[in-house]
Amino acid sequence: MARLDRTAQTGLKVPKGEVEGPDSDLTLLIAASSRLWRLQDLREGLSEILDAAIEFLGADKGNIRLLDERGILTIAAQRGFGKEFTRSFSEVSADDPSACGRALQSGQRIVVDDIETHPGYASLLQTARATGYRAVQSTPLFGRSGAILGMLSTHFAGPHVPSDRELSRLDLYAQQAANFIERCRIEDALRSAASQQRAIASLGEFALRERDLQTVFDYATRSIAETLNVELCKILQCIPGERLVLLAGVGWKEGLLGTATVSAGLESQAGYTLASSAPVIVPDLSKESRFSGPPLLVEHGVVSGMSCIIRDIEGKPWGVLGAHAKRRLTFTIDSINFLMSAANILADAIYRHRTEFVLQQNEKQLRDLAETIPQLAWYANSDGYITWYNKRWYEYTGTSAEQMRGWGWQSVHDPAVLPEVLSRWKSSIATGQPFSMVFPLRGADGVFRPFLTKVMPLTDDKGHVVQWFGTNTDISEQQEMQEALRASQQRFSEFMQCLPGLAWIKDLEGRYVYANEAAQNVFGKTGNLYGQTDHHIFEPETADQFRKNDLLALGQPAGIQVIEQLTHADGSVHYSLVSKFPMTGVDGRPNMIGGVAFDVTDWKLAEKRQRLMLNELNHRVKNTLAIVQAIASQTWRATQDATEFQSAFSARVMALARAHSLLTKTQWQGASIHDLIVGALAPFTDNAGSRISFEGPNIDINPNSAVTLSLLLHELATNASKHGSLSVPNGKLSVLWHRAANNGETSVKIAWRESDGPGAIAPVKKGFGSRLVMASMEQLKGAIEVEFPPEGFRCTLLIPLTPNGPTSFY
Amino acid sequence: MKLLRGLRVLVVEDEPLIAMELQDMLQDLQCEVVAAAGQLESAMTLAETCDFQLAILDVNLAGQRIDPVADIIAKRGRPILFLTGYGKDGVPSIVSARVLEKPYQLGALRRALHDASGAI
Repeated sequence: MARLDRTAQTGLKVPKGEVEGPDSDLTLLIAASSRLWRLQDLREGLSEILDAAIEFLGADKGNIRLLDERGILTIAAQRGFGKEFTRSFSEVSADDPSACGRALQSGQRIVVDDIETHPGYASLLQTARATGYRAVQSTPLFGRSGAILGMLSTHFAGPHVPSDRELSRLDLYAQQAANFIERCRIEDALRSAASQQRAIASLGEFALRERDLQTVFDYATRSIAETLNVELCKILQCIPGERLVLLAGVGWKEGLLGTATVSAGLESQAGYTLASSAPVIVPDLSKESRFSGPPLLVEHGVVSGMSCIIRDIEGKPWGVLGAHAKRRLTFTIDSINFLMSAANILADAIYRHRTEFVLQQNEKQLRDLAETIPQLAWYANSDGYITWYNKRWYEYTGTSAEQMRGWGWQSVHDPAVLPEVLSRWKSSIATGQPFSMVFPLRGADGVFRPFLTKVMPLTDDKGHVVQWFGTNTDISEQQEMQEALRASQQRFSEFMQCLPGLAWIKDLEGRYVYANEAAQNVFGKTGNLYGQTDHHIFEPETADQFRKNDLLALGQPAGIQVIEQLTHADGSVHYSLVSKFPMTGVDGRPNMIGGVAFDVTDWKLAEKRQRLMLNELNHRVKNTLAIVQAIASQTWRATQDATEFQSAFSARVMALARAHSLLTKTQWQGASIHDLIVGALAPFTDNAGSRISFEGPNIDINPNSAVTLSLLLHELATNASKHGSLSVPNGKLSVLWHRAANNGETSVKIAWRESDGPGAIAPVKKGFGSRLVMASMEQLKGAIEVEFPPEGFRCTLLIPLTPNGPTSFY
Repeated sequence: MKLLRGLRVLVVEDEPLIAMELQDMLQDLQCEVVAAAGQLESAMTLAETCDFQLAILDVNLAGQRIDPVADIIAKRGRPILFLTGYGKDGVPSIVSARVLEKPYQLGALRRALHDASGAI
């Protein structure tokens, strides 16, 4: 329903269509419709619609406007208007007094036949005159839903009223125009959705492939700007100090990328975006009330735009992604979704890059570390495929990375050991357990050396092995040293066991840390010797003695030599010559006490015995000299001249010497009575052998008695040869002896019988012989009986057979 | 000389010849040998019972030490002259006693007797 403001009807122009006939306008309509049908571009189509409408109505000029989301009609195409008009009336709202505004307001066509005469349009008069029109009509373009899509206005230079027929034709065409606009918009939406999807797909793919984050950012901003058909796009990253830095983008002035910052406060769009969970759309920055236009955007002439948050993996804001246009731009839901999708792809790329960066850093650090250690080192994948060796490996083996890759290491192994290495290594790979083994590795010089190899699994959060780290440590020197040490210990031990004495080592507290077998046998009777001190083992007195000497030895670098005394379990006292010496540790300070002991008990006893023997010998010599002196003195007292003295003295000394000779033979154990008698009678047997007889059992008497008896028998024999039976040619002498009991003591009884001599006469004065006999009996505890019958002298001696005292030979 | 005249001496000496010679020497010195013994038992008896002024004791009687005899005599307060072939070390420790080492000569015996009796 067109409404005609017919307030001024003067100078009406006759409509063209009506003049040319009823069919010509229909033909025009059909032609215009078919042209429009073939068009696809909105702008081209709108021009066509405008031209067709001007033609239908015979108008002079016109424009076509589209209604935007704000409810404002914006010029999309015009004919016949200058720049001034286009600028002044580019936007028309429903409250505008123009025909266009009124049509929008009323939802109906407005026809003004003459502005000059129409009082309602006085405010437009000046413009109309300047532009050069007097009549106008504005027809709303209704979409399928009945909403106004736009406005088709035509203007006439003079007063004019379109005919009803013209207007009904226009309505038909307007319907088609509206359909066209809707079609174009749907196609446009479809196209842009498709291009956005393509852009998202390529961005995703690019981000996945590209490792350099900055390149991804550059690509993303370029792609977003292109796809959304905007001039500017930006990626801002949050930095400390409540600011965001312009990290990447397109359309920005040179020198800003990487340096320009904006506030993260609510006053900037980026800051506002960070604070809001939803994307922020800005249709017109100049009309924005939520935040002030940040200088960066204003400076670049930004009019509209949208932005959303780029979040990190924990959901915290990492930065802001924004798209900005230098013109008014309507952002559809699709566009917003597109921007958010791009932001998500970037967030993923940032996270992955960060993770990879950390991983790379970690791996680099591990490798750097592995280069610093003196061992051979390498990394393997979880399946055991070795990916990296340190330089030391290549230096030692003289191999190349190509030769070693994967399982190439087998070439430097000893073929005899390799199967076991492989078996154990594969077992570790299968179970994820650490590997440890000693095996030989061939060096560049062709020599196999033993290596201690340890391989540790590196696991992820879930405990899965992601890598293996292996080290090979050359232990050939260690092994040689160990063998040398073992040999040294063996030698030490053997040496100690062969030592003809006790050997031990104690710590500073006196605890035994080593003892040879001999020492263990003597000290360790109560059990394990190690860890025990002398005070655990011995009587306090003995232990004190040992400890005192130990401490003494510690103060002497060369140690000490002492005689130590130890009473054995059987009560026998043993003496040891003990060497005690400090043993120094690596710091040069004594940390142990060594000891070696030799039993010198026998030597000590021998020494004592020797001293005793020397004493005894001295005594014996002196006693013998005293006896000789007595013999000399006694003989001198009883003789008249030197000749007689010389003969008697030497004979008596000889008797003494005979006893000594006999006793020497038996080591002064005793002398046989038989031998004593033979000895005493020997000087007389040469000329009276057949007249002398002696007989008796083999009886020994003690050395004391032997000497006395020897002298006694000598006196008896001398007396017989001078005065008795041996002084005459036919005289006889018989000496018989036998054992006899006397007061419970065993004695020997010696019977001296002379016969066929000159006859015995008892002496008037007691001579040397008689005195000696009497004195001897006192000494021998013996008894003597002397008879002087006519047939000859008789003497019976009874001498007890007592053993000698322990220390004296007389 | 006059001091020793009539000095009543107990002689203990196990070696018969030395005992004989000692008695002769004492007679030469005009001493009176009141008793002589060659064994420990008889010596102990004499030491207890015999009336003597001075004892001459051999320190070793057939392997037995003279100490029991010396103790008795020391208790009786009689001076002792020890005869020894062992040197002065083997002599019983009686402060007032004198020691004469074997072999000895008459002069040495006289001096020793003087010293010993002087301590009476």
